[in-house]
Amino acid sequence: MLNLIIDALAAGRVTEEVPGPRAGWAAAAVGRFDLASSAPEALRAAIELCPAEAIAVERSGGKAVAVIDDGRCVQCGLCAEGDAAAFKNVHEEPAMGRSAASLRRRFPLEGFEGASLGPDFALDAHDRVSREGARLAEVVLKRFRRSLHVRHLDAGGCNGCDWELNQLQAPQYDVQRFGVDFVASPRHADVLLVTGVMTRNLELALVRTLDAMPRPRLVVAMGACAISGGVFGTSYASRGGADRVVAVDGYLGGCPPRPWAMIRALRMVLE
Amino acid sequence: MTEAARKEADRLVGRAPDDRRALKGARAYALALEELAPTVGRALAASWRFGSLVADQPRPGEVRLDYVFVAPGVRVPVVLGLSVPPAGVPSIALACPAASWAEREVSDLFGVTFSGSPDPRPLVHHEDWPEGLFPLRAGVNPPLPVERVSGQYPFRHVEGEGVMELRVGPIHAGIIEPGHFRFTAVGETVLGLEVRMFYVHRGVERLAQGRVPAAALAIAERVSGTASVAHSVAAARAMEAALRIEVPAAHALVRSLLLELERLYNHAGDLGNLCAGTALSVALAEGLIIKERLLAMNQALSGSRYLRNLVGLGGVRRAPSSADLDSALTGATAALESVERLANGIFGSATNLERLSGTGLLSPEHVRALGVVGVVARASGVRTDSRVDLAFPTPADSEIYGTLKPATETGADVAARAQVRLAEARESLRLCQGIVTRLADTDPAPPGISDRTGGEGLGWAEGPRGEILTFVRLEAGRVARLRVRSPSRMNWPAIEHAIPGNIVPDFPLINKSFNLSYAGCDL
Repeated sequence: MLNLIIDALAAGRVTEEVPGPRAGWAAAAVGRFDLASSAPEALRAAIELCPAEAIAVERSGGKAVAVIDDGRCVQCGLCAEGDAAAFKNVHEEPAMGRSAASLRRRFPLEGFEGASLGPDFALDAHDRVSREGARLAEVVLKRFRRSLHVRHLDAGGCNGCDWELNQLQAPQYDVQRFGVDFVASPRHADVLLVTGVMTRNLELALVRTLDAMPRPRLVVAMGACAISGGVFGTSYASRGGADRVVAVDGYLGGCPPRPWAMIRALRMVLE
Repeated sequence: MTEAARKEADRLVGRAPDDRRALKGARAYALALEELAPTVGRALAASWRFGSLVADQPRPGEVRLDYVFVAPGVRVPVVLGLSVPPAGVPSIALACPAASWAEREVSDLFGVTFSGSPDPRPLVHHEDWPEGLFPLRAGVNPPLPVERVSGQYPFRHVEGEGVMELRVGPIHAGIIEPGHFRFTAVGETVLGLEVRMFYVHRGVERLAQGRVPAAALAIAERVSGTASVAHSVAAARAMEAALRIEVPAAHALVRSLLLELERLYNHAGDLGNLCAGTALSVALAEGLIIKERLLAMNQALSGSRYLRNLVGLGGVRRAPSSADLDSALTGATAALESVERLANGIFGSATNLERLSGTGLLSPEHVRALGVVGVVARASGVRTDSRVDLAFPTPADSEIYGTLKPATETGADVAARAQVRLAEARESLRLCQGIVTRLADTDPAPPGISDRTGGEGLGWAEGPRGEILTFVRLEAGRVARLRVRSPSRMNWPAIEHAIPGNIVPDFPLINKSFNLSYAGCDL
């Protein structure tokens, strides 16, 4: 026991400074993907390969646009593989925002002929932004500025996001220094942080957890599954993103999102 | 030895393997319905371990059931296959308790009824699922969301003077996955535990259907977050067996390196996490520091903190540079030194050790009856490890793993499971060193390819929690059936037997020592 304490003291300070947007990134790190080629065959191949149906070509008014939805993208990189790939890894964190639709990034396509390709994101307009959060923004800010109590709920993911949340408590991140604390009971929580696809067997548990939280309160969906269902999408066993069931105030893409991005997203919903 | 064991298996089943069956990566026999029970009886007497039950519908109107066993010395899984109409299959669960959850799952998803089952309750479907709807049966596409009906799940019930029932979950107090636990206790001592799972059932197997192999591998990678490599390697090996793809040595070695690095970060993290169960905060923080360093190292090597996006069909999608491999090895070596110091703290503190020793005992008899795999089996003295039990598809791996002696302990308690993890972390680093050295002398090659677009195969990998067995059937270049048997699926039922006699507050500690994946179990 004494040796453990001596080792801990000898280790010194391991907590890292709040980083800039690209700090800590290796050249190989998977990030978000931007358009690299407008060639129709490259786009078709990317749409076929994408396991999360995150890529589409939309046509409106004679103009074609390639769309990549960071709320669906699982950062597998299949769309960026090979010299003629449609997309390229730009080594930035996936998008975050106050609505799921704001995570869709659009790239105009020059001289693209032919019909729309891939999933129709318009059919997926479920994105229920919490009005409660918007109305109470000022109050929320005042109340939560120094201390934010978070109740986590895994609605049915692979558990990758949960392990990253757990790492927020590692001394390198030490999320408590930002006033963020993970609490055991929804009755003590200001924020419900949802990870994972909304499974049928957890819908009731999610609704009841939210009901148990005092107002004002915020809901944040982190990771592709909690936003859109990710690779698990919608099926007999799941509904897709959390906003199919409850109103959501903030979204962060990634599979899983990295801890620093999680910290930034928690700050975003408070600003 | 392998040849003799295979002849012995033929003798036990009473026939030669089924040459009409194109299942690769297995020794497959065709059985008639009435032969199932006696054959399984003889198999269990010969120490065959139940591995998986694969239901599939290659032709509409009937269901094919493949009972997959791991038989000593045979080195590939043994498959007893039957084609049945979906009713009246004799249950083997009484003789082979390891098959109980598998039969219940097949009932829920395919509508096969098993006669004489000791536990015919639903498993995957919860009480509000409509009766008679079997979502994996061919041609079944219910309108979404599936309607809810009212119903009640018949939990086991214990009565007696002073007996209390404690209901916990599905949502737990910490950052963990959902599941429901029912304890019956007298005072602080637990009499019994019943676990109710499948809250995170996502329909993974159905979702993979119709996908091209690369997309299906990305889904397999997300079966269980911290076993991404193992699940994608097992699925890739099944596809490669089905399509007769040979994986070049350089690719096979990189996969094995990733598997061992995955084991290393899991075991290091688990040793630290265990300290959350004993309130040893300094060691918990130290464990988190080590794990974070390993995750950062994973990202530098693969681009992903969870080593995702490297495993592909026929090999790996990108070959790490030798500089990347060297720095990964340096990082892993430094991490293991920290793990050793952490372990000295964990096992060197009398008050901490007192919590670990004699807690959460799981007898070897339970391990064998329930087909328990991985760290949990080895800590109860049962030496089962697919890296030794089953053959590697490529000779390069066989050489690297030829020297592996799976770590076992006989304590069968929380302390023994921690000791096995420590020994395996050391072994993983040693294997990584061997692999990196070997890779330096191995010519790079493109991934293996094939002209075939259809076939069926079994693949396996030893993940951080134990053996994964995956079945894949491909048709016209797309997945027609993916069947995943995760280690947690075998080990979850076992925890019910490790809890009675312990005090309620030790449950989190015992649970952590099992380190079960809910997502891996629930699929």
